[in-house]
Amino acid sequence: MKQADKNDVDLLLRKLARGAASASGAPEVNERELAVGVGAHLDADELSSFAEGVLPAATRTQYLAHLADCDRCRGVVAQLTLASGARSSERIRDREAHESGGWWRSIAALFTPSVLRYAVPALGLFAVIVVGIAVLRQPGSEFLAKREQPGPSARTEVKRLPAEGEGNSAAAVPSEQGPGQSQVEAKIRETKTGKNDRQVSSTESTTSAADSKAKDSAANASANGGAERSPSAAKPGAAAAPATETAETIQKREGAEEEKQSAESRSATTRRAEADKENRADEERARNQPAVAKTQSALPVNGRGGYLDLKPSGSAAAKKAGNETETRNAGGRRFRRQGSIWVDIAYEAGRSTTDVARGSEQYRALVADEPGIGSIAEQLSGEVIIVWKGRAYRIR
Amino acid sequence: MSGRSAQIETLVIEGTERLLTRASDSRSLEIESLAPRIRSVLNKYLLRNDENAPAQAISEFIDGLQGDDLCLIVACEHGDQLAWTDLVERYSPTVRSAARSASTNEDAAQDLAQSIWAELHGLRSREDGKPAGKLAYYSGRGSLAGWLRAVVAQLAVDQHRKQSRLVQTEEDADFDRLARAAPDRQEVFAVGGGLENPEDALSDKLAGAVVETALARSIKDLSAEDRLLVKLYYFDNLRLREAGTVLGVHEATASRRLARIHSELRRRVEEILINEHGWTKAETERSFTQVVLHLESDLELLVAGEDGKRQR
Repeated sequence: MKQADKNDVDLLLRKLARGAASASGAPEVNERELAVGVGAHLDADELSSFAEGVLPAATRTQYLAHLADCDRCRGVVAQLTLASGARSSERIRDREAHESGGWWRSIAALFTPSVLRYAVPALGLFAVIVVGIAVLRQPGSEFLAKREQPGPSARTEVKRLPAEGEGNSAAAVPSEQGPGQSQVEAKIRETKTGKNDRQVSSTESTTSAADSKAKDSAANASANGGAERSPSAAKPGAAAAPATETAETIQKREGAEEEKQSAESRSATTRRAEADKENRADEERARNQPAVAKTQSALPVNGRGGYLDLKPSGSAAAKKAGNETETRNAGGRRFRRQGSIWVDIAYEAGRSTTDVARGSEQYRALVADEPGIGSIAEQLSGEVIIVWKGRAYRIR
Repeated sequence: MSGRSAQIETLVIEGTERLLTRASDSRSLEIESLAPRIRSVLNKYLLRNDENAPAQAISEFIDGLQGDDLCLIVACEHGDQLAWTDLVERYSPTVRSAARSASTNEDAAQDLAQSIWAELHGLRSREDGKPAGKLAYYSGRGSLAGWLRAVVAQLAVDQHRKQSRLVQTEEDADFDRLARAAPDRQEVFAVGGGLENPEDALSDKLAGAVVETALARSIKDLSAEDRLLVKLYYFDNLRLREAGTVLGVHEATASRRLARIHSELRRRVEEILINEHGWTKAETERSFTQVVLHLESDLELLVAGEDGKRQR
């Protein structure tokens, strides 16, 4: 309502009140009105009780209607109220506190035991649902991203890998095993090959101080048909590339890397073929062995079913001598090839090992707990003995 | 006796016991002396408007009575002279103060105070020989001091009305003079050079009367509490804070209520004028404006008249 309208009504009311005052004049005296407590007027007790605010609500409402229309009683009430100024103020404060308390009281009513009895479990259930949704949404996508994106440099290098490397690796392994197992193992091999190559390329792409050495080692690798890595070349985390490289240097390095990669892929293919042969032989022997599989053997077993006697013996010594120079670094560890087995140089003869077959549930659990072991197993084909956190694992 | 009556009687007896226990001076009263009084008070203030009041409400009502004051008054009613002496000694200042507030001079106040004690004691006698005073009307719900002030105020009003039949008050004389002076505003307009069209003046006057009538009806349609606020503020000339105190609300609350009442009255008056008198919205607006203009002129005249009176 506009202020002007309010003023209009205010003026009209004042005029009306003035007119009423002039018209009232001298009212007729009613004898009944003189006696307190008799007649239509409120008696002294009712007036004082109203003024002090101690009447029940229903009675107060009834008296309100009379006071609104009775000038006499209203005048007395006004006098009494103003005369008891301090008590009236307290009454107003108490009343407004009661009204606001009523608001608080209505809020407090939400926290009574009868309401909390149902509200708390409902809130708990709601919280569980919200947390569950949040948890389910998060981990999958992040985990998958990590697995698919090992690193930008490796990603770049992966593109340059010859497809035939992987294709050959897959094709070069004729499977004589059962269908399911062969598919699983083929997949593992494919994955291993791809990762192996990526690992190789990633380790080499980070080094440029060792570029010349890499060239030499690539040449050696192609000559020997094996892979002997100079530690500096293949050592992960080797010296970083210089801040500036000329185009020629880059081209040379890339060319050397490509040559190395092709050499490595050829040697890897050769190794895989040999490892597969040995694996097939081991599996045949395992089928012929007793049903109860030993998860731990007291003595290491060589690839041919006999105990691996690490003491130099005739044939072993000759073999060892023949393979003595064949070492590889994988997962920050050094492995020495003994026959068809890659043995961690930290492994001590006579130490008990835990046998784990690739693709088995046990292997998956071990790799999940210790990804480093999985990485080594993928890099080194065939049987591998890894010493990891004080325990020796035999990966087949 | 019905179950409900028996229940109420039991509650009254129990409440009376508690009252006598908590009173600092029970004046050697027995339950039988006090219970009838409490029963009548209960009927008057609670059960008359709420017959099915729960037992807890009844007990709380009785526990809210002023035990000491009620015992004093009941003892006085029973002729306890010591109680009478206490009553006069303790409450004479209250009665004198109330009489002074209700009277124009000290002599009138003194007369009024003495009248009060006579009224309280009672000049007539009851059937049992005891004085028929007004002490019987004290319920114990409010304080005894407040009740005594109310008795003084009522008696003062009654005496004033008696006297006003005989003598016209100075205020009324002023109003009459102003009312006689009201037609002179026509001359004011003439002096100003703008002669008012008689027809327009008559129509405006009639329109004003219609608006005032509609306003009076609208006030009657307000709720009791809103109507009381309007009467206290406009008709009794109380300040907004004082009107709020009577209603038991803060001044700000009273102000907000008054603003709401203004809006409601305006809306109701317009409804009456449009629906019952066939006015248009524009005519209603114009009529409001015209009435207000005349009111402002009247106010100026009033002020001018009072200033002239003061100068004389």
